[in-house]
Amino acid sequence: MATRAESPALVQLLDALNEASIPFMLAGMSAANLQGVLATTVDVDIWIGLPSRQYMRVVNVCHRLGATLRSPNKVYLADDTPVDFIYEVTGLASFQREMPKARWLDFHGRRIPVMPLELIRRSKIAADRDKDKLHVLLINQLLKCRRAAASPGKAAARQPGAHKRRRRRP
Amino acid sequence: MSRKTSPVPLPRRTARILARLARVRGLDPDEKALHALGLAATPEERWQLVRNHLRLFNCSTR
Repeated sequence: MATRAESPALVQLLDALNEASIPFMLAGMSAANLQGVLATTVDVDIWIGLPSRQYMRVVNVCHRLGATLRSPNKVYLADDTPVDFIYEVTGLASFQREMPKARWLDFHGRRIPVMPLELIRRSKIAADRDKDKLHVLLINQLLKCRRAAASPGKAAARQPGAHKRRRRRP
Repeated sequence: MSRKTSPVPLPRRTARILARLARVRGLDPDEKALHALGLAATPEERWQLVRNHLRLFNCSTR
């Protein structure tokens, strides 16, 4: 394929997973990056919709792309991008149940499934590592800004205590 | 009548979003500016922003 060699290594990997009929969803802070959270992350997390015993299918795809395998779950792509393959996510239901909630985003001319911010937040709250606390804060801030940007009138009209008044109504 | 539209530059899109965030509470102007940039960018631009930042520190290598 002529276009494939020009694509970034990550895009080639996503294409190869698609061609191998391996269901996946971009997860973690890379997924949050694509949705507007500008926090730095080095690893790209990909949630694989297969039982972990079938990891060899993913490993074979990576071999074909010339990736360097550090472990069955961690590879370095040809451009040195580190990728983690995840088979279950703390705090979330199974891949099959969460996949319908994925957001499909345009990325290098194709549409890729990305874990929505609400699910990333839930998984980070469940994982509860120190770095997750900062990520949850940033995700919360961005969701707040996204709501305000979508409906600036509502954000402006919201007064302190308004939610309390609303709660008192039956 | 067909009109050719050119993409609006990212700084201008960011300024538009930032204006909508003016009355958001609990965030300082720097935080609002960062989130406005994140919201204004396309997924590819967001990816590029983060990768550029990593490249500054040579973080994307083994």
